[in-house]
Amino acid sequence: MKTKHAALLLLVVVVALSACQRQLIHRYQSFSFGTLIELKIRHADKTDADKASSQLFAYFDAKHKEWHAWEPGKLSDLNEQLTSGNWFTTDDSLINLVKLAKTASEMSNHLFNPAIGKLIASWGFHSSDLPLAPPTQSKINSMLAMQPSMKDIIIDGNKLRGDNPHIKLDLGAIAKGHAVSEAIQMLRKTGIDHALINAGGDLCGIGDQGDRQWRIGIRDPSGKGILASIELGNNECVFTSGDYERHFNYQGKKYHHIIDPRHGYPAQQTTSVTVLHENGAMADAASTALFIAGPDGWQEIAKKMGIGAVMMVDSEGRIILSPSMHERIRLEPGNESRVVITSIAASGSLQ
Amino acid sequence: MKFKLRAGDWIILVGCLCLVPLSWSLTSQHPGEPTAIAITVEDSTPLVYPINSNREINVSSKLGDSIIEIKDSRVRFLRSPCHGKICMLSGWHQFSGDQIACLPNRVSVSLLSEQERFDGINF
Amino acid sequence: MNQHIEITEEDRRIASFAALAIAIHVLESSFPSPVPGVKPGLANIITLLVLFRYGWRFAAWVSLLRVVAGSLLLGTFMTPTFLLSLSGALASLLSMLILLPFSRHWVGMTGVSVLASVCHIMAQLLVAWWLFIPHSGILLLTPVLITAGIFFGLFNAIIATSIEQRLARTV
Repeated sequence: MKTKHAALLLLVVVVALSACQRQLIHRYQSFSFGTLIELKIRHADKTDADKASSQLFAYFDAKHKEWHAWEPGKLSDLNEQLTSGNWFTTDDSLINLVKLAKTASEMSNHLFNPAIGKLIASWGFHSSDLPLAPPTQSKINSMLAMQPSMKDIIIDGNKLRGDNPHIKLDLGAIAKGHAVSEAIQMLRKTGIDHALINAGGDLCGIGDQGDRQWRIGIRDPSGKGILASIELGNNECVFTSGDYERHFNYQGKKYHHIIDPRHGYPAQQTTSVTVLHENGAMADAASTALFIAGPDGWQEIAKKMGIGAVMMVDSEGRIILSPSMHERIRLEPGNESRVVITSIAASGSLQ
Repeated sequence: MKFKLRAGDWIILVGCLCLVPLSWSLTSQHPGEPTAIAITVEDSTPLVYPINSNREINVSSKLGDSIIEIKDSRVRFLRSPCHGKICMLSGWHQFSGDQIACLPNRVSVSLLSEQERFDGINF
Repeated sequence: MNQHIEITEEDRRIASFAALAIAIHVLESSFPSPVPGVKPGLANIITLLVLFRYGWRFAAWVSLLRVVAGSLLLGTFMTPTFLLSLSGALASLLSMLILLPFSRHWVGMTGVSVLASVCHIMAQLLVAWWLFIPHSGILLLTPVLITAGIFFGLFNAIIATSIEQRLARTV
């Protein structure tokens, strides 16, 4: 055998074996943004992946502080400035987030209303401890009378002004989604094409797991195992809002943290809402807005917010699915009888 | 001796070499306790059942009805209409990644673990 | 009744080569192998030579005769071993048939030998999995067996090429 051919053969063998090596999935975990964040990166170079993950967690830590709803930070400063009525500015990433919140609020007919921070605080949810009792009706009435709204925030370029001294921004229902989306784009920029971020149960993914798409199990809000599973598309987020996340019991009644800004009480008819969207901030805000909209009003809001795939578990345990969600998810056996498929277009308007 | 390799020879050689790590990753076992079984009949979507509730599942396929039994977090073919009954003879299975197949009848049962099933849980 | 079975020149050739293959096969079976069931399959050298010289049909005859007669001689006829041997031979013959249109310009003995070898071994594994050891653990052998298949395929190809070239010089 000619030496040249033998050497070439050997080279091919080595190259072939290394090229065919399946990329390992690197896993990372950190307690950040007030929750457990799990990160999976599928990337050949572990050093790159390691570096990207520490950058990512550092980013989450920073944003958690800056955007914290009640602890001192950039958002608290912003809230103070809003009450003054003067023009002011703050850093770009926070302005960006406020803009997103404003857009999402408008699109949701203000069911998603992050300006009701004072109302949320009066319920006791602006503390790491759980509240003991609901606020009085008169307290709630006085909060409602202030009518804080995202319309009261004027944005001109990088300058902001508040038109209502009673606004207090609580971005809890959108900040995490936005941070996760931004983080995933950060990963992309460092050359990582396949990753999955799980921030306390809300996920965004890019690329795939290798053998298949990123496969996500959706928990049954009643707590009994998995309700359904879904394969995430490239650059897609799945977010859920539930009545089990932050709640307390008082005199036999359960009060959770998703407050309906229209009447000041936790929204009653929904147990959980799961949405799919390519943007984390939108998915996060929409899951809250649709939760508040409830089984009767969600279609209109979903349509306005541009959300196509919705799964809602109502207080009676029915699983309401939009047609595109029905196509995307795979229900666990035994749940078929609970399903109601409702088209988003059908919302009483003439078609 | 002259040993010349043609283009096709190289392609086959490289292709088969690639099969080695590929087959390794495809066949290597997955860790974790099994939490569910998946029954596949023909090419249809697998039926998934949790492994912690004892039950007998009736499955209809090409040659007839099979009964798959889950008991004490283990699974087996209790009855199968095939001739060789090899699937039944293989007895109880309890490790994730395990698979019992009745190929003549086109029925297969795999044990799945939560880790393997999902990359993340949304709640 | 006068039954006249005509024996052609081709039949004689097939028989000679088959005999050679059988002899090699029987001889090889007396050698122990480190991994059970994995043998270099030296008889396939004959199959290779015959394939390139006389065509696929010829090779099929030689190969199948070798499997049947070999198993009769070794006393494994109609046993699981025979089934494995047969399925392997059929799979490798099939792969040879598939490569046939390419054998003029694109593939030589090496490609055919490697592919046939890998197909042979994989078919045997699958039959073993299906009929004898339905446990998925058996599949763990796949990477090892494919590697062995490539190695022995190459080995056989080198020997066959060497013989072919020597024959070409003398004929």
